Amino acid sequence: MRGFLNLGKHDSLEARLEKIKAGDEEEREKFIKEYVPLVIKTIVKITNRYIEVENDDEFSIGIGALNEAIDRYSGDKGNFINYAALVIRSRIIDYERKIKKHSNVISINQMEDEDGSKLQLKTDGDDIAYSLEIREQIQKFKNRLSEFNISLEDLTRGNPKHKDTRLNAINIARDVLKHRRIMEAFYQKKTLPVSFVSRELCVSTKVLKRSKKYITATILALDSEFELIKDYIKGWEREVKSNE
Amino acid sequence: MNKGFVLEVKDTYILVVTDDCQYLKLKKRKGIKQGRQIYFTKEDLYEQQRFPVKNIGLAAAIGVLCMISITLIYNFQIFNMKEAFGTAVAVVSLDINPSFEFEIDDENRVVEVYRLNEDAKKLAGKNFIGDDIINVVSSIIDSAWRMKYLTAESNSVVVSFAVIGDRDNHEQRIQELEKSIENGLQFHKDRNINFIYLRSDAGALEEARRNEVSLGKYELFKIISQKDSSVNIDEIKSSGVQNLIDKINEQDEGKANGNSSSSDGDNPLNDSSIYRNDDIPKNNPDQGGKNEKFDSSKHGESTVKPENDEKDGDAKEDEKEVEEVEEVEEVEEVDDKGLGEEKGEKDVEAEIPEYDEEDNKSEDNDESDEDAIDEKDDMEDVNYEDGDYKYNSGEESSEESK
Repeated sequence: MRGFLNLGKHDSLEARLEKIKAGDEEEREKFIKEYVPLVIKTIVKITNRYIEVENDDEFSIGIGALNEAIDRYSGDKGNFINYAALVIRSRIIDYERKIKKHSNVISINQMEDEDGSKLQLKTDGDDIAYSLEIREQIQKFKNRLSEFNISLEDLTRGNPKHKDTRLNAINIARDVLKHRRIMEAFYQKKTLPVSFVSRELCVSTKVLKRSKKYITATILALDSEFELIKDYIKGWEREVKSNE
Repeated sequence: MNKGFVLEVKDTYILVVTDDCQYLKLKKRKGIKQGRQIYFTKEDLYEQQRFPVKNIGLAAAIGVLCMISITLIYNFQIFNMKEAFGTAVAVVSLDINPSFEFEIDDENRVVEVYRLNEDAKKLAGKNFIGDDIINVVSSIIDSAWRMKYLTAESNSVVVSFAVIGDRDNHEQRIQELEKSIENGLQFHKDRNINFIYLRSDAGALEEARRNEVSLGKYELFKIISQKDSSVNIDEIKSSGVQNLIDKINEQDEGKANGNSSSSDGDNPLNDSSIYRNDDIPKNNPDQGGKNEKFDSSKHGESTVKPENDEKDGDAKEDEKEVEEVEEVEEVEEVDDKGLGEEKGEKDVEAEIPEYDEEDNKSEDNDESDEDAIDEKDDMEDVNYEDGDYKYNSGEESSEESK
């Protein structure tokens, strides 16, 4: 039984790699998607930094290295995961060396060239303005939450673990937002009026009580100007729907 | 993979909201700022209470699950589950003087690490679990070299291994293991390291563990105690590997002087410093009892001096050979001091083939494999070596890539 299972799994990886090498681009895409966590894990291990979504040079180099590993891999190179991690590591380290050299060059130029440094300052200023704005939004969100006696830590503990429970909670939050009278009570009492919601929207009190903090936070987020978090919620809803 | 938006940065963790609408605590890492969006994986989760068991039903369910999975592993040996937790099938010990012992699973991945002395704790604070044993041993040898545990004078590394568990294909498994370790460590031969491979077994492992000594040292103890019954295990525990090897060599020399007709087969270590693997017929000396499958041809591989061995390989009087080899060794040691100082440069050189290979993909697979390992080697170095070296190698690489 073990042999059979092992064989099945092993073969499929080899077979998939073969298929990709033969030019199956769709399979390649799927494969890479599956191995993205490996890429991230490997990069983070080297840099000990999170990869930022806005500045993902390292990430694209990692993906490039994964592609390279797929093309160069053959059975005699041992475990594919180890091999891929090795290739990713070396590419990332090459990149970091290059960056280090490059950044040195820039800093020297800046010292010599005043115009250049001014330009640099200006772009930095834009960055600062942007991050200040975001910080302000987060602060507002946190203040709102604390009015309702919720901290961010509470939210990490009260997460509905299961995807469907979470989606359901978001749906309830949306329904509450549409309901004028509930919203009035919500802001007046600074808490989610559980029995009222249960009666008006036909949801069991058990569900409401269990996800109360999460639902409250979602309502507050959706009813604010906190665009980023709203985008996250919307984006996820869309994704879940498109997967269905 | 998930995307996360950093809501708050605390002292030891960060709070994020994820793209699937969860609020999570993640580990804090360098340079993280509020308001950034990051990619993260499961491994970044910040866990304080690992198993908050709220009710007895859940605990019972987990218990039942564990039992089922253990049963599955033992009865059906579904090792596809090793991602989550591998089952040790073999033990590999590494003695430089830092002593390590690793339990590895079916695919040579480390599932448990024992640091058996203070040196070992100093040398590697890293958690090796899940890494390939060859990589782990290699990186420890690298660090030992850097930290001067391994030098031109004290250049012995004892690698011992045993297959554990009650499965039938022991012999085949241990051969495979031995082969992969020897192949994996090939590229260290530049450093003039004297690798000594000792095959062992579960019985010896048990004894070694009872005496709280590494498998490799226990095997050395067995060899020494044959000649010198006064030696006890505590002495062995406290003395360095190089001393033990020297002692064995001394013992043997003494015996050879006293009784010229004695066969060198008595001492597998000395054997191997004279003969190459293929020069000596397989003969199992009487040592070790039923537990020990001594294969003297495999016992030690002197990666130091293959050419000399070839010259000396023909049958001569044992005694002479000992002397000759030792002379050669001395000369090489002098060379080696020079080499040691230029190690940084050497590493850079080792990197170049990798880039060559990039341009010429049709090159031999074996070679590229070695390059890959060298590459890894270099990376390890990057973290520790001085700035000078970094600068050099950076230049090399960018030049190559132009």
